[in-house]
Amino acid sequence: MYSMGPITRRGYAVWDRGIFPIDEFTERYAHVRSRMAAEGLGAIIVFGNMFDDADLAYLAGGHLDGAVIVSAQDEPRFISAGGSRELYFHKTLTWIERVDIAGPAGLAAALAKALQELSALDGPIGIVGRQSLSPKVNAQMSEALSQWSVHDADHLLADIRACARERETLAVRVALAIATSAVEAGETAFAAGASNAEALVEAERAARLRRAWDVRLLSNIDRPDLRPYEGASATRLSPFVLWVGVRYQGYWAETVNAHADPDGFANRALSAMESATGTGAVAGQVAEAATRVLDDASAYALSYGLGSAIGQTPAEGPVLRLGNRETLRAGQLLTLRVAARRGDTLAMAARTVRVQDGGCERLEPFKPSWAV
Amino acid sequence: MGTLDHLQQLREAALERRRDRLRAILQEAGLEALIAYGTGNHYLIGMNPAWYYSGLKQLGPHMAMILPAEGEPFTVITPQWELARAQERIGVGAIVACEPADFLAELGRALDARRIDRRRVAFAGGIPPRHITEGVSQLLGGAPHDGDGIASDMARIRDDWSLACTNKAIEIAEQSYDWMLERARPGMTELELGVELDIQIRRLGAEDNFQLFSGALHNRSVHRPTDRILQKGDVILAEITPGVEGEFMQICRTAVLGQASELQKEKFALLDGALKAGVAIARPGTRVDDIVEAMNAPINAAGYGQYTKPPYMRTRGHSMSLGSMDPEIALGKGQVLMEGMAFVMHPNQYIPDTGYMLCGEPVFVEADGARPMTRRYGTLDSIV
Repeated sequence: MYSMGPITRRGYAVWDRGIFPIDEFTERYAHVRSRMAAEGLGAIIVFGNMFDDADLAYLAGGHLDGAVIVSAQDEPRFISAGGSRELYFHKTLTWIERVDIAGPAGLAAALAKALQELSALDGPIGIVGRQSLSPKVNAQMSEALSQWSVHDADHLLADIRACARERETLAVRVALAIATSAVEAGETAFAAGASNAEALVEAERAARLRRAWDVRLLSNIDRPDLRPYEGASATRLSPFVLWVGVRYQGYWAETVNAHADPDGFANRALSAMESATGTGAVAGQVAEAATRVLDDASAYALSYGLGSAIGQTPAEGPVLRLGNRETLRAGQLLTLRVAARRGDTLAMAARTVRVQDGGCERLEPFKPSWAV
Repeated sequence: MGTLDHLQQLREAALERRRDRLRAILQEAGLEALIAYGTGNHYLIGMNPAWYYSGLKQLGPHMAMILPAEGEPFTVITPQWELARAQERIGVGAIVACEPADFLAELGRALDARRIDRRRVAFAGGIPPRHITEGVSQLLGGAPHDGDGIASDMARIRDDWSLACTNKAIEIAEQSYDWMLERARPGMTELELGVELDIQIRRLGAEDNFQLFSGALHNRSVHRPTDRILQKGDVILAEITPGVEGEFMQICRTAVLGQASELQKEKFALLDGALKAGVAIARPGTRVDDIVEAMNAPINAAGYGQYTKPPYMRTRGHSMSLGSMDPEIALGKGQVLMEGMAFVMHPNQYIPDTGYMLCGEPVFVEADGARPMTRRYGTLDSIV
């Protein structure tokens, strides 16, 4: 769901090897290589930065800005677009052993040099994540790579990432546990007399203390609509509605506080969506299932969105909106969400599910011992 | 600390003046309009021209305020459900809310409805995504006139709303740092202490905060927090940057968990002297290269010249906020200080004897020199 992006997109900065050991990355790497071979690619370059790092984080791990080179024979290389001051720290955050900085010549020149150093390059180069580059770097990249055959290969990683691996699902469940702790902390604060804005801040504290990378929060601050925190406010609006999105080790989950749906209206719509979800189900029809329950409240709920696939970004395709003909695939993780307003009262609920044959499985939070 | 009502009054008046001045600039340049675009990627070293002219820190991925040389502005925002907040905040001109996929088409319709000659439109985008850069060029039938320079040249001279927000951010930063000094204890992790500091900043009214926070016996640099358990003797580094209504400002602080050693005091004093040397020569007309050289001079004289360059430091200072990135206090930038600029000056760097230390103050350039905006210069604090 859209939410106010904070300055600190990456708070906690430790690679959790319990969730993502090196063998997880080497498996991903091997999988990508086999897809490259199938498409006749000699190498791929995967770009990412703080704002757009799903593909990069999938291959390299977290908190990195720059590009990873995957080739048929050589070990992966990471070229950091960051400054040399941070290089030693960035090396602690990735499984990739060869980490260099782009340096004064820039990322494009450093990548061209790295490509020339490959032991073999049989086939064109696929580019993933070019949209994350500024216009200036894009132009530099076109020039620096002009001696090779280059084409966009975003589809390659998007397709691989569409269905979550077991450890990706685990990371989403940890993110869900952190988000759940956050909404509980918010509810506790509200019950103790805090305003909606104050309770939101306490929820953020709970999430960040539990090692969230990124936290997004919206509440019915001062108005019966979802708002970001924009400074102190003493207003209390009941029922207190708190939506929290959390990213842990690259993976997102979202949830809503239990008291946000006092008469179960939003949850009934969620259940209808859940019943319509399964392998081969059409995304638009899942959305329709919600609107049949929501009736007059549909337009409002649709404006906030009824959910989408979730993973390395908070909203991936397929999006659950009316008319979307995309079909759901087994193994996809979905966030289902309903925000319903009737009169001056906002109600909200959310669930996370994994698509499977014949239906879907509701994901429960996974709380590692440190998150208790 | 400025009240919200006070800030709101300042904001409304300042935004009107900004738009008035822009109209005059556009008319003088023979341009029909400026498209002030912003992404939702709010970052303290990246412009958001849409915020600068509208006062709305947007929630969605795209926003554009179109400011004609004559007449009222009009705004296209995303997503649709941002409309109510945008109307409350902007309060001027027509506002259309749409989904991100429809943004460029909606922008085109808005230009057509006002019969704006697309060949005479400037675009200020900050750091727009590739598809927006390409889409806007397509929409305008070629590369637009440069609007980033127009927006940045205006924003780098702070008006009273900008200064009020900046001052509030600095006050929150100083109060929160003092609060942190009272609570830091051996046994807390970097993460715990950093989060508590960050949350205190929110409680005091900042809507956001950029923060690097780490500690070690011998820091190689400052970084985001880890699980390191802080112990007596650790040197805590805190780069604290609250945001108020979109304006960010930074203080850089160093504290020892326990008593600071004489060596640590001596090396911190070296950086403090460098900072004060820079502040002493900063005034309208000063070249930023000269400030860098003034700051580096005592460090060079102490034999640490090689540490005044990367990877042992990053930069000697910079503007921040979502407005202008001018000035950056770095060699070769070719910039000159102007009255009304505000920026942080920070000789933060690695010293081999003690490790990395932070020492930085926000300053405001007045007619007769640069004035620190903090209550006091940072010191090497001891947490006992």
